[in-house]
Amino acid sequence: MFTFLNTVSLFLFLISGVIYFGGLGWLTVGSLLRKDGIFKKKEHLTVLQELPVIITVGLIINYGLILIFRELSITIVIGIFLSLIGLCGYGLHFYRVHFRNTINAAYFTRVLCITFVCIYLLGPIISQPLEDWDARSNWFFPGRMIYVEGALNQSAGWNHEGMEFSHPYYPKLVPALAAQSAYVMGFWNEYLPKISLFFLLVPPVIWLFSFTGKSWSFLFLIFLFPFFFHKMLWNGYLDGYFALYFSISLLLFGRFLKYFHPVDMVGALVCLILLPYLKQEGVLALFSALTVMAVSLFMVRKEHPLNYRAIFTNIKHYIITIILLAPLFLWGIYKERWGLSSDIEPFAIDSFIRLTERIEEGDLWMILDYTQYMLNTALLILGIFYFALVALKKDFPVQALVVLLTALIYCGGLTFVDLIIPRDLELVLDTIKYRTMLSVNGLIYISCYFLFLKIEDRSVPPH
Amino acid sequence: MPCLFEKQSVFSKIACYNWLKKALPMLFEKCDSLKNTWWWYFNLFLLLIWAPLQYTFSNRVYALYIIIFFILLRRVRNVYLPLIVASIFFILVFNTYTIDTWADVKNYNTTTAKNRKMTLQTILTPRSGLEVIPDESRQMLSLIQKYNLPHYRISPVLRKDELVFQRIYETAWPVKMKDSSPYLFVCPDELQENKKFETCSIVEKKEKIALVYLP
Repeated sequence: MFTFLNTVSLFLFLISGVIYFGGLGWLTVGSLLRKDGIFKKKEHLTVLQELPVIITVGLIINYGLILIFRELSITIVIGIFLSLIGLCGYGLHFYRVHFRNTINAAYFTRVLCITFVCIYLLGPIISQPLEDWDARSNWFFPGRMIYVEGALNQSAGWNHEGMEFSHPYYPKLVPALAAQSAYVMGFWNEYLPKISLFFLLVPPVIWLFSFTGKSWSFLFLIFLFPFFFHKMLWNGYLDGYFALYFSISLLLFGRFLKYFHPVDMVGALVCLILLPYLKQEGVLALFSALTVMAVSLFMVRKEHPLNYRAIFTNIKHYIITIILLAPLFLWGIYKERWGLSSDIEPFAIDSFIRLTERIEEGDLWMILDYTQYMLNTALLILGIFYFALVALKKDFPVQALVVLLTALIYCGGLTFVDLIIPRDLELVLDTIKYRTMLSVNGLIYISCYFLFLKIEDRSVPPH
Repeated sequence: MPCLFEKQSVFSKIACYNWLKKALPMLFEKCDSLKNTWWWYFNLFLLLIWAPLQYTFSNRVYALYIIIFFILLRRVRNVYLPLIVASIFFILVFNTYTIDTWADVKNYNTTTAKNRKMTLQTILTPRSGLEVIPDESRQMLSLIQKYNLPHYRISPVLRKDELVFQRIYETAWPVKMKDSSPYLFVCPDELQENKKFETCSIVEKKEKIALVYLP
């Protein structure tokens, strides 16, 4: 009986968590996703298009609330209040738009698949204790500090002697989420805080199943995502989730280049904005992806003119952008005030000296050698697809080119960071490189997906 | 409310494609007779670089296969999809963690389902899961809790082991490690080897850890 009750309470906690983030997200971006938002009147979104966007935005807003109010108890009360308002709005929207369109066989199959994948991966997430080194030291120890303090304050002990190993300047979205989960349940252990990973897992899985199609290419996509990340999905490292969101953002942007449906652009941007909240590399990922996106949109400006006046004169867009980026700047201000600084300073003279020294010593070749080793499988597959495309006399799809360019810029950025990092380079390459390269691998696989679609003479599934 | 996107059409017409077509004619030129075009030479050149490069990266079978694959696709084009699918899934199955992930997750789920009562109890028990930290850290933690220490420090020998240091630092939190603390954790061997500890009082000695009071 107790087992049953425990199971029910755990599942209720998970479901209410997802609903909570959905409510917060709808309150923020609901005005964009509504029928009178940025969409043409004849277009309407399905629930599965809206849900991942609002849950991801909810995660960011929740983090923003923690940074503003600091105290977990106050944050939770205010968060629930705001989420309830958002849920009321979404309920109304759901009744008006989706109520009659939701239940059909195809939709039901997708929901079933999404639920299966999420529950299938939930097993190892909550049944395995936190064991891996950086997962404990970098992500869940700060979570424990926030939980113990009951707030994300300086007094939590970020400046205590010996804290350097935990890199206290790292983004705190997941630690704060872990602390919040433990706070709601009333205790800390080595299992429960990992529930935060489940909340991160749900949106990408929903997004992936929006690409459902009876094709080999979809099988290829779902075979790899999210499963090729292996234990990075449940061991507490954030590299797997970082790579997953990065890849999904370019996948959505690829679909945007095909149909020019705003929800894909909104989804891609939301995924990208989440990245700096997960890891430090997020800023580099955001920069590389936005650069390539901007260039590709500039190049299609004549064939697909976006209504830039509508974008740039609408105050709503500015407000939402500011709200979504505010936690990033707020954490930056706190870091400055609390004296938490990163050991990587790209524009410092020391970094430049280290860069030249390492290039002279031939370390660049060592880094490239490691990079090739980490990307080996993805490059083999890319080679197969590319030469198949050539042999079959098909055009190279622009979506694949966009993704590959992003991967190239991001990989170049990571190589630069490796050259200036003030730590033992060999240790960095042995222990960190395989994790940071997951994102590049993910992007190459996404470009392979677009190549595969072309080979199959198919289009990206609309939604 | 004005719409953001005024026009929609298929990918083949987009300016990006046309722009790239002009900028990189070799890459994008389509023609019926491949042998007489730059496109053919460029890709042949690429293949002749790609295959030896992969050979040097120890992908020797792949290096030979990609040439055969290319020739096969040019000759027997009606079976191209099975050939591509087979090649890709062969690489995916043997070179990625995907199958391992499914197997590992299945194992975890099976074990969890079999021991669901115990697993749920563990998940919902405060401070559970500490068995994953090293013995030294666990013994130090138990002593900190037993004697309700306000702070502690560890000997340089223990400090050298980064794993032990980080695990006790984080699991003992909010009890903090302080250099000025009189409560010192040492290895039992250190007590015999180091004369410094002859004058201090040993609070408790465990298998791998001893707590000494050293004001």
